[in-house]
Amino acid sequence: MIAMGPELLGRLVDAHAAALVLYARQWCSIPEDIVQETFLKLATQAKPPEHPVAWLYCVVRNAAISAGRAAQRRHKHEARAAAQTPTWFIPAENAGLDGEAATAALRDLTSAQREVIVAHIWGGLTFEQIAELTGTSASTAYRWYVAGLSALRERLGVSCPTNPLTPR
Amino acid sequence: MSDQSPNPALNALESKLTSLTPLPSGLDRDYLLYHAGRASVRGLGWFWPSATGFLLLVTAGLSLALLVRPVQRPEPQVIERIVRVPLEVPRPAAPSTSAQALSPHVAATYSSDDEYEKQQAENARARRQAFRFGVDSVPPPPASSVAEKPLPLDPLLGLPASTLDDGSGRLLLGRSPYSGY
Repeated sequence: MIAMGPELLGRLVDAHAAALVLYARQWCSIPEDIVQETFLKLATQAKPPEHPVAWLYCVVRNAAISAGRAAQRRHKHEARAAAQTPTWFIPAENAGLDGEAATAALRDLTSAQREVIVAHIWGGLTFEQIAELTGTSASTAYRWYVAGLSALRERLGVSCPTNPLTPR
Repeated sequence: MSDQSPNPALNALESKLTSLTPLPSGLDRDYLLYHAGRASVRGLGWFWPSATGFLLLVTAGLSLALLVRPVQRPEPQVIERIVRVPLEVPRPAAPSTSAQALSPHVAATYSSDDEYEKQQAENARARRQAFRFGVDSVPPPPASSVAEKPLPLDPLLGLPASTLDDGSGRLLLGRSPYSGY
């Protein structure tokens, strides 16, 4: 009973493990363990999910929230210490943004805004998928996303460019 | 729903955020794939442990039953059957034949069985009376031909006939050369 081939599973790990860890880090102090368990759970699925990436984010979200609540009950100080991770990103000179500053700005967002931004920018999920993930509508997810970006722009001091970016 | 923000400032920020790379996950890819492979074939893992446990229980139960079972001794088997034994009906014997079955001198003394049995009954009654009331209570035997005719001694002693008795009732002891007669 091999539900998912090792090649596909390896590609998913390579492409989405880091973003999933970043996504899970919002709720718990053990995001790597959560993501690893989620990949193992994906491998044992009798019927592979139709959208494996969205399925991974959904399972990681539920597991991370549960783990975060349990950790808060047991070790509040450990959870706070884990939340004080200096940066969530690899330092890069040509990124245009400081990783630690971006991390701090993201921490200051509401959990809903931060979740939508992480899932859309680094997870690559559409707003429909994010809406299904969070149990809201796509328009609500989009509003949270725009509100979150506006708050980040204010905190990070990003100015409006003279030439608008071409749509992705 | 369009994934593109209409605000150019937000688009620029989105572009800069996209250029940030999340920290490596820290997951061991080989370890993860190995355990994922093991987990994917764990569906039938229950069969052999279950079979082993079942056989272990059966073996333990049979061993316990073998140890504590009561010793069965073979009980004697009673077989009932009807055995038909032929009844031997005594053939009626002729009076003369019965009398001839007696010893020669008894046969010579009593002429018939009735007389013999009558004498035996009389003797038994006299014996009981003697045991009960003493010898003196026994009446004297009636005079009969038996008393008048003494028993021959020759067959009793295993001697040839007419060795000691000549049939007259008188012993021939006087013929002995050692006798004083």
